Amino acid sequence: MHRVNAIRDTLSGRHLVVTGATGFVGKVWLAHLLTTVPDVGRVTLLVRGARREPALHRVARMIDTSPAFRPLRDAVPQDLGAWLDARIEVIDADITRPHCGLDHDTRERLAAPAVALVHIAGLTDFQPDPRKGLPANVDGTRHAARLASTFRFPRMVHVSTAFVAGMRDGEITEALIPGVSPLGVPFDVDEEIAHAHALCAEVAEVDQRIEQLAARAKGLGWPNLYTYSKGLAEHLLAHMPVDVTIVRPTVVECARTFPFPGWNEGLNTSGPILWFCGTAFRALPANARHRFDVVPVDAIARALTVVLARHLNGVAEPIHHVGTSANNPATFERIVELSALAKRRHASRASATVWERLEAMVDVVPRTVDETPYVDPARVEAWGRDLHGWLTRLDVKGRWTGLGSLGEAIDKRVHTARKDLAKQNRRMGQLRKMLDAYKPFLHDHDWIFRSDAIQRANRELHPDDRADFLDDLSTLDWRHYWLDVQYPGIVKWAFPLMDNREPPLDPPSHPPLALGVHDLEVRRAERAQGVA
Amino acid sequence: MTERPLALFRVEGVLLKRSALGCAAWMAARHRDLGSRLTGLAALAFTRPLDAVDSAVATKIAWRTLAGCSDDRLYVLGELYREDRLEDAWNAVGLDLLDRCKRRGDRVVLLSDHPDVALSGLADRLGAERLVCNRFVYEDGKATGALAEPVFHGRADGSFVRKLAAELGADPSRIMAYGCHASDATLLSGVALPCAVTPDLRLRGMASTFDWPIVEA
Repeated sequence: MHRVNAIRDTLSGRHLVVTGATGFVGKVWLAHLLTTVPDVGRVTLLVRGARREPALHRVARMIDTSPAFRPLRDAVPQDLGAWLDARIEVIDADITRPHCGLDHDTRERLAAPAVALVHIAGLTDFQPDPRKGLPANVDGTRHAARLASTFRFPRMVHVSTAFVAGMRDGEITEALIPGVSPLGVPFDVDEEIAHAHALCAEVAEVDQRIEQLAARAKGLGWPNLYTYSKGLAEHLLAHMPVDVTIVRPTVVECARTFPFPGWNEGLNTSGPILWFCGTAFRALPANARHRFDVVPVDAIARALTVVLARHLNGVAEPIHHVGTSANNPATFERIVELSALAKRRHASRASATVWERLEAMVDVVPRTVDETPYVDPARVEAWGRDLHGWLTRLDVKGRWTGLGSLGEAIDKRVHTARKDLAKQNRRMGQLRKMLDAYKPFLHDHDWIFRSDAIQRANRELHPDDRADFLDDLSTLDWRHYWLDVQYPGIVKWAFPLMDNREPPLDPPSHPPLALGVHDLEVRRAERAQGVA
Repeated sequence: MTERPLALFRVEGVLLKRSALGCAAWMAARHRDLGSRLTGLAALAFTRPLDAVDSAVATKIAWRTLAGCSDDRLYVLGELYREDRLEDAWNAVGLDLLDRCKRRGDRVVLLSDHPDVALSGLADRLGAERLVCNRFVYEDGKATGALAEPVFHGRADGSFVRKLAAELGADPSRIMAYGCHASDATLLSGVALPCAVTPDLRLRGMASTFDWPIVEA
């Protein structure tokens, strides 16, 4: 006898409201849900539209061209638009506005059938402009929770981050003490949010806003504005009139199996690290002994569905860490080693350039700031600045005219070199800033996120659900994952972004997928007949 | 005890034109630590002359240069070594002999002083029953530099053959061995049916003395 119902039985015919379905985690979760639970009653997606592209078109384009939806497109090769119209509904919404920007009628319409709100939306930049970060992560959560509280079953699954644990080391339990910051400082969350908003309104300069609020966040124990805003959101939810369960992923990275191995979107934490390993720098500022808690995005998607089903069955725990540091840890030493080896492997291919081959001969190693430093981006930036100053003094038009045509050539060369050097200095500056932003995660803290709740949920999975929803991270083979999945995935899907290029999308169908054009009632009747 | 003959093939020389010391040098040059790369290569420069005097010691010194390498590194280096160095190093004569043995229904065992990471999948690829080779000893995911016992150092002798025969249930009177270097002489002299394959000068002389068959390219 199993303690919980099968996930498909639980979600069959249920109406869910979802935010953040167009993000990295949201896409994979939605695609996985629709592929594995096609009998889900209805999924209402709250999506922000734009003047040029309403939400409905945005979602249609996403499903049509995002690689995350390949398995769904393969599973429903015919008439996908009609199939989707019978299952999903897209509403123009904005979580940063009260009631998520929904009018009264829409809220009334959702209140009766909706059984839970899955809140995935958020801004994941480490140091965003707080004028954007706070509305997205804090106000957005408040508005989503208020919307969920109007449902007949006021339930919510909130996707947070494990790093709300803040600047602490060692074992982090799946718990939250409302009103107590990571450093143990008591605080009033509403006052804190009001203060943060006031600071945003007062300080006109973006960098100053970031600096001042980041200092405040650090005073409470959060290493950056992302964890600060996510942390405040969790504290806020603790006194909202809604039954909440929280999913806290660690560092979300390339998919292990769904939609296919290696898929990734955007610049996640390890993208810039792997990119750094591909430079000529020898030392990455990281603590070799600390754990790097990474989790594949499809493991999050599966865990989210498992937690959602348990929440609907009334057996979910309040907080679920989804990570690897407690049960299958990989240290920075191993991750950096595997990254260097992946680069070496990549460079051994015939297509690699001579420069790539030379760079691969230098293996990056993790170094703490106390160890003898190798040449780092900050030092190169300083040298570059000195050299640039020197070239600027030389780059005076007509300085070499006395040398005739040779002087003109020197003039030209000096000018070009100065411009190139300025460009390289900017790049070094970006790299240094990136390393500064990542330092708390790579260097300063050793987090061990206990993930007992999701393990318990996995153990109690119904046998019918194991094939589609069990993702046992304790069996993750790091070598295979990093070399064969993560590195190729990052090279294909994230590195183009580092060079301001767009990663490839799937070609749109002909004619392009259209949503909202099929008569809902007819499709429902057809579905009912099909089920009967 | 099975009736099928057992054919022992020395990988180095007979099947592949690569030596284990070459593999050690290739890997040592790709050690993570730059200092270890240099000291490793310097140490390996002395192992070649030492190999002629005491191959057991030379083998141990050669692989000790990889002390401190992670199991991940040795796995990947093994893979790259196979792609980079072994793909074009097959010895056609040896492969032809191995095919003939398999067609006859002989049991084939490969003997190598390479480490297992460098020859992973070789037994399956060649249809051999077993690959006898060296294995690194790891502590906390890093090679200690020592090799797991028994260390195969290229000078397998009669006692090695008897032990292997007992382990595989083979009839000692139906064991063949194929070697090509002088260092394989002890192996060849320890089996009932020795065969020198494109032998070097010293092995050729011994093969003539003991009337061992010689297979030329």
